[in-house]
Amino acid sequence: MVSVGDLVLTGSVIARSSDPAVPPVHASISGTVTEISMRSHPFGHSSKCVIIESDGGDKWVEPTVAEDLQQDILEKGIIESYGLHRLDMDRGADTVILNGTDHRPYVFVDKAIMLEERENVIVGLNLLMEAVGAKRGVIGINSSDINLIDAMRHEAVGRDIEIVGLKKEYTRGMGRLLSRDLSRQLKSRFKRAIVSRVPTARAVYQAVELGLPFVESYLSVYGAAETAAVKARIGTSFQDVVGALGGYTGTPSRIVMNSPMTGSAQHTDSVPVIRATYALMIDYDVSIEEPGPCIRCAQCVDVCPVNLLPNMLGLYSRKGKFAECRRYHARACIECGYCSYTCPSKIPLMQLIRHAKESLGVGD
Amino acid sequence: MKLVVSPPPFIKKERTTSKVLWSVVFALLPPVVAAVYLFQIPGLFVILTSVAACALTEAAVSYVSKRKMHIPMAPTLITGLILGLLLPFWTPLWIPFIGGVFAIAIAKEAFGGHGSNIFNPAIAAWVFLMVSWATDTLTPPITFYDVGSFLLNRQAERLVEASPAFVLLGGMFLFLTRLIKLDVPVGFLLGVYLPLIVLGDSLTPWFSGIFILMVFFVITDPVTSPITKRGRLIFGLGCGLMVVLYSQFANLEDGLGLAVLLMNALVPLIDRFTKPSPLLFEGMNV
Repeated sequence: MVSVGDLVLTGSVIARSSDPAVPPVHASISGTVTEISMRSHPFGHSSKCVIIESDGGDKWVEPTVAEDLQQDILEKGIIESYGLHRLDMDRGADTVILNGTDHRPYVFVDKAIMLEERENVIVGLNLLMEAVGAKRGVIGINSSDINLIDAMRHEAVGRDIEIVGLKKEYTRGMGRLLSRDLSRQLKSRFKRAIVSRVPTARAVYQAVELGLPFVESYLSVYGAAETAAVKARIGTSFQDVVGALGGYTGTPSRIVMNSPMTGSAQHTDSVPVIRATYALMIDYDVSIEEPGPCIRCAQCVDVCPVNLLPNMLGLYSRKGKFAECRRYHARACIECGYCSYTCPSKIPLMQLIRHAKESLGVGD
Repeated sequence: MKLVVSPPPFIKKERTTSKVLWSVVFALLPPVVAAVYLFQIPGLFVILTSVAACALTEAAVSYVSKRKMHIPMAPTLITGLILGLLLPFWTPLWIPFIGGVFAIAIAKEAFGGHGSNIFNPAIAAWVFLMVSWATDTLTPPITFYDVGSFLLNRQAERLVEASPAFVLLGGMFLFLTRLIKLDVPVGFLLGVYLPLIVLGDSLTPWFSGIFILMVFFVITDPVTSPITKRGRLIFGLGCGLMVVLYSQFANLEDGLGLAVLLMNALVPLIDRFTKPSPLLFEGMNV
């Protein structure tokens, strides 16, 4: 959409997919386009990037007012904070759920946003409900954050939004499990629930209420001099994010974008924050453990949220018996990483299952 | 800046297999101490011989098979200690020695080593010894218990019977630190006590040290019990029912060993029939 030499404003569209259902890309600062080239991407590959030389002014485009809510949310560049997903906007839904439990270890972005922008989250959720025509909104929050729950309840008075305290558990990340647990707590059924997250609600608020495109990710940073959640414009390098928090406290030996359970380790800290970034974790001392033999302790079986037998899958995958892997439902694996995390013998179960899935191919 | 790039997850739970196994060794120390206290030097020698035989066999097998993988010592120790505890203090020392060699070489390594063995090595060796040299291994069953003999039983001949209370102590340690799962013991106790109450039998023999050892240390062995949740319950239940069945025709002690071996053999079958059906999700959103 743009070429070298163009002047852009913050929030102007600089790239668009040929697929109309994919949100466009917006300039995150104002200035001059100096280069369009392949750069390292935090997901491990190279990607085409537009480099903008800042004019220092951060001049925004004119805010736009929504006509069709769904179209507006898409046009403002909002993606689901879970990753590459586009927002689930099924018009048949009766409930919109916000996952505010920070279910991932070392990630605390939900709480940070709700502490700072309570009202915006509630308004954002209301807009999401409006966009799909849902009558009901539910926010799940860690039951240990009693003050936060109270404050959110206070904020939600007079709206069709319920705040529910939930025990912190990693498996809250699975939309279906979350909505099942919430409907149990509320003792009422959801006909069709859409699960979204707190950062998404905040982005929707900014997009619709303020008319501003999505150019800024909210991310929690763990392992820099200061542990905090920060707002970073898309394209800010990880190095600068860490620098803003007092820099590294030693020589980092691993930088992980997003959850330590499923995120991706970076080979350099000069990769940019992207729209899907919600956390950084910096390790200074990485020890690599040799896996031992499986002793069938079945702890992976007990934690698997989708009822698989990860140890059997790992065993067959290592031996290349992928037909057996299929029989053990390898393709139902959601790659949450809980088995690898739990395994006391340090067997890289998720990796083995991934290998089996790749070998089986799609549609098997 | 040199950064490590590896696949996720980047954090691991602290519990490691070797820590778990060493904790089991630790939990076996109370009954061992009680046995050595009561039976003195002969008791100590039985345990030492059994452990030494296991360790030597392990080393020999590793040497012969030119194995590169590091073999943890703890499971070998566990096998040696349990086998020693199951024997009477007056048994000739070649009995625990042969038992140890059999446990490691035949029952464990021949099946693929730690993690792959079908039968509990200590129990397999013990049953092998009972079948082959009954007069050197069998002791008269214990029929009477009071609080004193539960703490220290001076009539006992089998090492583990020296103090059922101390076996319980070690077992409770495993239970309280959540190192053993409860579904197998719960199934086992249900399988034992329900029919016993229905039959109106005496419950006394079921307070014996050997019984408690089975509940906490033998049937809970993860390697030789099922991996599925339902399977573990069925396994425990089956062990319990088999023990009661045996005890109707023979004495309790033999029944325990044979019941465990039989259920061990059924583990792959149990796993197969209790395989859970997966929850299916549309998107991957964790």
